[in-house]
Amino acid sequence: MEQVMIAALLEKYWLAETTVEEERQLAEYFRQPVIPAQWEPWRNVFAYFETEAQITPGEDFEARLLERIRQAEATAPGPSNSDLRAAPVRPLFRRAPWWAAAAVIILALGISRLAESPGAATTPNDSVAQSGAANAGTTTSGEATAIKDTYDDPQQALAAIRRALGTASAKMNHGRNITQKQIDRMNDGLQSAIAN
Amino acid sequence: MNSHSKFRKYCLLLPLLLLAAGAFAQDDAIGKFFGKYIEDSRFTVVSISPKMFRLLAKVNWDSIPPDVKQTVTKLHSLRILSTESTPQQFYKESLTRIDMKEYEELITVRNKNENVRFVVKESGGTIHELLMIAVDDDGFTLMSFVGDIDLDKMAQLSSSMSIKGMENLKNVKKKK
Repeated sequence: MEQVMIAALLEKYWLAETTVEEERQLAEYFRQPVIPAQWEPWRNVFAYFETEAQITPGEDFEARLLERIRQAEATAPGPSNSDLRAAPVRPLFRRAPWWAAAAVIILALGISRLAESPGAATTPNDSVAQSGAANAGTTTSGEATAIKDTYDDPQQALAAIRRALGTASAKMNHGRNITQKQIDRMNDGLQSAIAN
Repeated sequence: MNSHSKFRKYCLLLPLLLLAAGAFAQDDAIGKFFGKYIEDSRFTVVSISPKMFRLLAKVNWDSIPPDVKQTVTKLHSLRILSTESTPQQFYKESLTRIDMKEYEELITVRNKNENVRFVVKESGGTIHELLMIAVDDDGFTLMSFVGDIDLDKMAQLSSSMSIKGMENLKNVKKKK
């Protein structure tokens, strides 16, 4: 009867489906002095696991290990050795603050941009239709931070941009001309000074 | 050690880059320093948003000179604030409002009856914003161009455009 059970347990064991309790039962069974001949080979297997499990590191295990490492380092202080020491395995959580900081900043930026241009997600056609409700040529009021369009017609907007560019350009040149005049005057002065 | 500190640097750099990009996209000088004037009824506001600049692609560009088109397509947004009331006072106030740590003075023209200042916001050799502050007896104007700005191209534009500013220029020459 017991043999049937052991046979079933063995079957399970080789499929690695046994529980810890079942494995303990198997180990106990194989400790018996007399077992069927066909299972005799397995006696050593279970006996081996049993004895190996008893082994614990000795009292001086750590000291010996450290001694060995020190010796190895003393005899071979090559670059490979120092590399091994220089590249400690850093646990992930020590990097986490950086990732967290980056993630928070990216999130904040995303949110601020969304808040800044709530209409940006809509398609151009939609936004034209929406802004069509606003009067062209008048200033639209709203939050000071978001740029509100004055024109809803790109053609008009372009005309305004051209006017603005023209004004800026002209004033810029105005400045340059004056500068040029002053440089000329300075040159004249210098030349007359040299001539005298 | 090396690879790790590099990694850390990148970790630091990435958010910084994003922050810089965010700050650039955030606002122009008018939004930053003159927000209250936008709501002020004494001021006339003209705003062309980045959205409208994108819509400009639909416009018929055939009659537009190519150099104008080139400059306009590189712009991101435009905002103009102007007023006719107490221009000199607003001019003085505006100069104190602009954060000169961020903006660099480019051109200053001071005449008997007109003052013009150009300040720019620059990073990495590119001008991201050009702000014009102009005042004469008729009014005070703030004009902010945001985008990728080529000053030389912009200065050349007035020769390819017939505008009021050009006439002023000629008058100046005549006066001499």
